[in-house]
Amino acid sequence: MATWDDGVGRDMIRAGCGAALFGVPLLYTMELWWTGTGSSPAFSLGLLAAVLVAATVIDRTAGFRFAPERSWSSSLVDGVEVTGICIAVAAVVLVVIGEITPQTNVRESMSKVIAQLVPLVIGASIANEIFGNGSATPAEPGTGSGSGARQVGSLLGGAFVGAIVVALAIAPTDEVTIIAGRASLAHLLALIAVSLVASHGIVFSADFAGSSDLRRQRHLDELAHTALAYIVALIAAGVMLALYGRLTGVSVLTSWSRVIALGFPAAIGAAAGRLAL
Amino acid sequence: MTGPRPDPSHTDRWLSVIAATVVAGVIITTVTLWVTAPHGPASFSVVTATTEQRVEVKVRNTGGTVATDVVVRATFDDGTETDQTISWLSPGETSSLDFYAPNPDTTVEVTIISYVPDN
Repeated sequence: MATWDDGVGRDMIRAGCGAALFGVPLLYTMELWWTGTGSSPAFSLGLLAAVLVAATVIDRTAGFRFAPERSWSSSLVDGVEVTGICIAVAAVVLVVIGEITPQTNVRESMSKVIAQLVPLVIGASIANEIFGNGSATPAEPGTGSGSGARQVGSLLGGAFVGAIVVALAIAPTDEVTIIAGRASLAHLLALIAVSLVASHGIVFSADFAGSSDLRRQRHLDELAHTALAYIVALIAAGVMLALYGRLTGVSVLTSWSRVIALGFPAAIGAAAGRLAL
Repeated sequence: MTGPRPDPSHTDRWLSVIAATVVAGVIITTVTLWVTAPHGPASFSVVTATTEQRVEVKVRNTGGTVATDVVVRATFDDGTETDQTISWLSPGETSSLDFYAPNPDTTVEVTIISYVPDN
């Protein structure tokens, strides 16, 4: 029986990170929120069934788990698993951005989560093909052979470029304004936490290609790099919002809330940028 | 992870310190801004500037809650009324509207007719 140490946990983390990586622009799309709000239970169930079928079919060629051989039964199991992971990712993000609250009834909450599943499941399934390195064991940590300035420059540069690439299309949208406008202190702190966790997971836990070069001698150092990349993502978010005039004529708290709100997709982009660059 | 890890480099040591400091700064800034910001319902300040028939109205949300669908009414001295709507007004945000008076040098009274609090 497969255990966490066999890479099961890493596969699940990779699926979750892939879902966040590819799904974050649609998680920040109000039309998809409304799709969930207006969906009938029958539509949601049908969409969930379609997602399960799609996840199973995709798994035949590009599953979230590295496997030398795939049968229809194993693909079905993986399809159910990846759908479950994506439900968790969607639920967490929708709660953190204030789209699902304690006042939202269960049917509407489920519909909103299910409406997000299509891009998330595709992202989780194909992340292996795009970013996966297929190693059965974790890569050796980097030994820090490059100069300190070069390492820091690479970290900051890759993070900034990645943040811009992913978050630039989201920065001018009303979704950032809405998420920031309704955010409580708990939402803002949760956004910071989720951004850090997602960023760290993508770079250091999902075993995507390129992560072995970024591994540090100590986990504490990896956490430090994640934190620095998040700060870079926040700076990039602030620059983008300022360029689009989204920080003009509003209170300091509103401006800060918008930076934190855009900081989530920017942090995910920063993580991808560090892997890619 | 496999195998022993070498000692952290000097760069990693000071990066850890900087990272911990700035993340703590982000959290402290968030909490401080939240605690010190106004959190009451939306309220509005209105400033008008008239140039011949053009009346520029600046509406600012001075409260602590987002206001949506803010209906602004300009009433001119001949009894003419004109309404315009601001769809979204965040705390501290100012929105400008242009009204046009039926006659030059007319006087105008601007009032907020209604708004929807966004909670």
